[in-house]
Amino acid sequence: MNVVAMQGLRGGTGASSVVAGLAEALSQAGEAVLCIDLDPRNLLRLHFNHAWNDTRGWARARQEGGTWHESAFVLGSQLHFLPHGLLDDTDHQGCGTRDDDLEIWQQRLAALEADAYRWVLIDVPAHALDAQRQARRAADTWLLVAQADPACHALLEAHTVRVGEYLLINRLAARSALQSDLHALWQRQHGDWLVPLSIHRDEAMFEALAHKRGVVSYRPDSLASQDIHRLAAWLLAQHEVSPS
Amino acid sequence: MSPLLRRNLMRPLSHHYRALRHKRGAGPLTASLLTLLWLLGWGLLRLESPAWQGLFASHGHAFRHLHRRRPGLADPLRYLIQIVWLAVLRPRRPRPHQASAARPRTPSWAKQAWETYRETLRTLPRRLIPAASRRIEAPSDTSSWPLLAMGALAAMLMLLVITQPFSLAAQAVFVVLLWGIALIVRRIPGRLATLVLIVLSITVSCRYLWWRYTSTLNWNDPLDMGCGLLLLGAETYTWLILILGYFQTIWPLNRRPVPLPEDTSRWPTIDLMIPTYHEPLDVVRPTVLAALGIDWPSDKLRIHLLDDGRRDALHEFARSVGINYITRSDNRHAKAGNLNHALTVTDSEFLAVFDCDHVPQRSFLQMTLGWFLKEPRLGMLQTPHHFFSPDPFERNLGRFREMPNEGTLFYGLVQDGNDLWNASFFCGSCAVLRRSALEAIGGFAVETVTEDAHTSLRLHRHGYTSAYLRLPQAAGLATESLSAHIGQRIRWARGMVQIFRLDNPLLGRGLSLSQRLCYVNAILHFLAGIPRLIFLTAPLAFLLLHAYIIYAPALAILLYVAPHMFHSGMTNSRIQGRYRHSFWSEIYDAVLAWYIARPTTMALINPRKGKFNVTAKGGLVGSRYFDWTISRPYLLLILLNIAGVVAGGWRLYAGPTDEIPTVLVSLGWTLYNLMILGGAVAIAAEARQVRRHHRVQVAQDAAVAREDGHTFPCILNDYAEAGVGLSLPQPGLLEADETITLLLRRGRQEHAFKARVVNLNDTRAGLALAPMSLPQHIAYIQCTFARADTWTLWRDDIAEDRPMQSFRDILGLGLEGYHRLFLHAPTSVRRPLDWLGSFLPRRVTITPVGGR
Repeated sequence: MNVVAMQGLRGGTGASSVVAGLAEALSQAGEAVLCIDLDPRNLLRLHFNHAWNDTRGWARARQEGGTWHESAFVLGSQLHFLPHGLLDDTDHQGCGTRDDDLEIWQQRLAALEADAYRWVLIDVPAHALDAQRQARRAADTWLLVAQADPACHALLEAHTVRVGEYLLINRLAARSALQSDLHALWQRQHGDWLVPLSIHRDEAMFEALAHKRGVVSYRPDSLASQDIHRLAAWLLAQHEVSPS
Repeated sequence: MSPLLRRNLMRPLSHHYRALRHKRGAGPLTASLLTLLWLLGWGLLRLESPAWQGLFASHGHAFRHLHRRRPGLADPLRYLIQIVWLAVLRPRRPRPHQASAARPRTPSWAKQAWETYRETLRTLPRRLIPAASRRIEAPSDTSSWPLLAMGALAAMLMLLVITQPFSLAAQAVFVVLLWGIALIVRRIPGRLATLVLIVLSITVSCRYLWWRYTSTLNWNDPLDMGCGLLLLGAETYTWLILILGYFQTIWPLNRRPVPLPEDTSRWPTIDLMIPTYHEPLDVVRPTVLAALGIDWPSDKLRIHLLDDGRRDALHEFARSVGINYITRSDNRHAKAGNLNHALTVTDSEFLAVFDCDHVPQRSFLQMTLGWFLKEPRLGMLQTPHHFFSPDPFERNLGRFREMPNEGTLFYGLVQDGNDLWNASFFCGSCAVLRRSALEAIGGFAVETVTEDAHTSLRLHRHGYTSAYLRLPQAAGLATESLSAHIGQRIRWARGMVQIFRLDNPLLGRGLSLSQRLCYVNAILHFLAGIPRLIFLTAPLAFLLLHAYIIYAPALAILLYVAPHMFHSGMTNSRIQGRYRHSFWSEIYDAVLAWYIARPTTMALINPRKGKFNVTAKGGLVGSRYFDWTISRPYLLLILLNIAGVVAGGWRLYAGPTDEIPTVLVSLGWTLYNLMILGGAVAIAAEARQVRRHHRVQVAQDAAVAREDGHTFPCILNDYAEAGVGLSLPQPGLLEADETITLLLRRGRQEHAFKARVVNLNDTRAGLALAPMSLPQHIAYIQCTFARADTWTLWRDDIAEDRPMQSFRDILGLGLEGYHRLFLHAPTSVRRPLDWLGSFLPRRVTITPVGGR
């Protein structure tokens, strides 16, 4: 079981859309995928055509005293999705005390059947430090999603790279001279951990969310979708070489 | 009763007659006769019976070509010929589909044994290598006399084998043995086996030549003697070229690039020179822009445009892109003079020279300069000339990139073979030279029209070395028409012969024996004109003039000539197969023979005559046409050979019986010549070249972004200076005339170019690029013309040489030549030929019942 966590370097880099697309791409490649949303804003579900009023999710289940995995949804035979769930504001404190164990996700995933999933994709919120720490313990691959812009560049300057961490450029637009220059600069500065492919800026990515789908199933002919397929292939190749 | 009969009979008769006249276009006489025949048929036979009706319905298949034709008086003969043909020949049956897939048959024991045999020989070197490498570890300080003694012994044995006269039976045994050895050895991979084949081929060919000199000349008859000596001279020339060719390509060096030091401050300064004379800016621009994109410290790379045309437009262009513009007041010594003048106003340590239509890759300098830093005496390093447009042969035959082109042999093998002997030479472009070396020899040589080869000869004489790197590092345009190609070759041929006369590589100081031989072979190669003409007409000496050019019985001729041809053909196929397919040299030589024969002879007599003519490039061939002017000599040769065939037929019929084998051999040779000449004629039919800018065919990933933000992957099919062709994953993604952004990648860097969709056809789109800024234009050239991978990949899909297949190709090409000749012939010639052709029977394909 390969656990891949994806986190935006800052908010709004489009990391959740990439997670949704990647889950689709990997499942289309015949891999069993579990996709988990750690973001309390609970938005990843919208990529999977989840009903707006449906508040179920792993955090909600915990809050209501159930087990964490009971509210997973099945999307085809290869793709399972576990939303975060909407929490009642009143009980928010209680949840925090129960789940602040650093190893919690590591333990939860270890408790799964060994062959149930080949891939676990975790959507990690950009700003929730607790969730990040928990995901770090569980994940063996960490994809930091960034946009080639000055804000991300500044954040990268201060960033400490850890083992198994990769930088993925999203919404790359070669038309922008600034992006091209930053892209070239990053290749030099961050070449050792930069994923050797980028995801292009593509209107299809935004439209996919408007259609409540992932881009890979929504526009298979789009460049973003092709990029995500390549990302999936790259991940597969990475894990073929070093099986964890 | 008679009026009734007349009315009832006349109506269908006149109906039939009119149908024949108007629907099928028969003449009045033919129509009347056929109508009469029809009447007779109805009168005597029961044509309404099912048997006859069935025949009428189905006869059209076997006689379709006659059925479609206008009925003629000679039709009974045509039907008869076709009937005989059908009776004699088995019709073609399409192979059923299931048979092969249904049951995998176990191969017969013969097949298994054959496979084992092939496999054993294929793996032989691998099994021998451990033993061989152990032997190499033996003490290396042993003296060389055992080797010398062995060499002397081998030479003596060889001399014996070559000169020993054999009876015909002994010669037969001898050649069968050698041929048997060759057939076994050819299955063994590796260079050692190649060497064995070379030794066998040399033995057989030397023996042949010895026999020719000692026992096939008729000293009593002056005509026999004259013709025989001419042929013998041509054969001696071919033999010399064969032996020198073996020597030259015996061990291609396959040099690899040497890495440059990490510290770029130690990299030398370069003057990159682009000489031009009258080529349009469109041709020069990609080269200059690609040169600007070369990876080299910018303070150490100076780019100069050397304009002998003194054109303001080029001056303005050079200024706008920030390169140096050099011109001079006179045009003395053409390109060499132009470069020499530039040498006086520049001062870098090294010189890179590019013809203005050779687009360099960004890696060019980094790939080549390492060797100069490693070897201080290295004077010149050459890289291949690679073409992204088809040469006239490829274009007129429609075989672009299907087989090695004409230049592949030289740049793929010969230069690499020269490199072993430190004799690879400068080819005028895509090369780097050391300034100090050039200054030591007084600049580029100006005495001949091939300043390049002559310059490197001088470098070698002064003790400088040369190198060849077989990595395409630049690509350019091939000559656009056959006449231009021939013009270029005439210049080369004249220049090389001038070198032979003015600065003979066999004489003078400073060259090693091997260098002399390599240069001499390069020069001799251009003297092929007259020998080739002799070969193309030699059998006619017997067929037309009854001169015994080879004064020997036909059987003896076969026993000596055939092994000579087979061995040299097989060995050359082994050495050159990847660079030139068998028999193609004959075509290339035949095309040039007539045209280089005169200038080379003139240059041999008076080397100082003749002027420099520039190879025209970047032009268009307006319409499909047949170059009658250029093919006139081939037509003459074809007529002569046809006359020879007719004479041969007459000799078979009327001549003495004991001459029949000789006539047959001569006829075979004449037919072979006719085939080669047909191939030469096929090339003279110029195909159309419509685009102003050459489109380079590729298949590389790209993407298009629409204005609304939608982005799609696509495949870049072709590119040119001002536009590209794409194929999209599905139709309907783009709209005609919309403005889009084309995304191209170079390495990991991506570049965006504004473009307009100018034509759209299903999933195919043609884009016209919007005007670009200078950095963008450089980036575009870098993403397209100057990409490192596009050219090197081409070689992979080229088929290996299979001599028999190649022979069939040439045969097809020869027939194609006659067909084209026929298509382009004037009507007065075509009509009688067409009429004659209508008697030819046609092959019939039978579709099995129940098949498609």
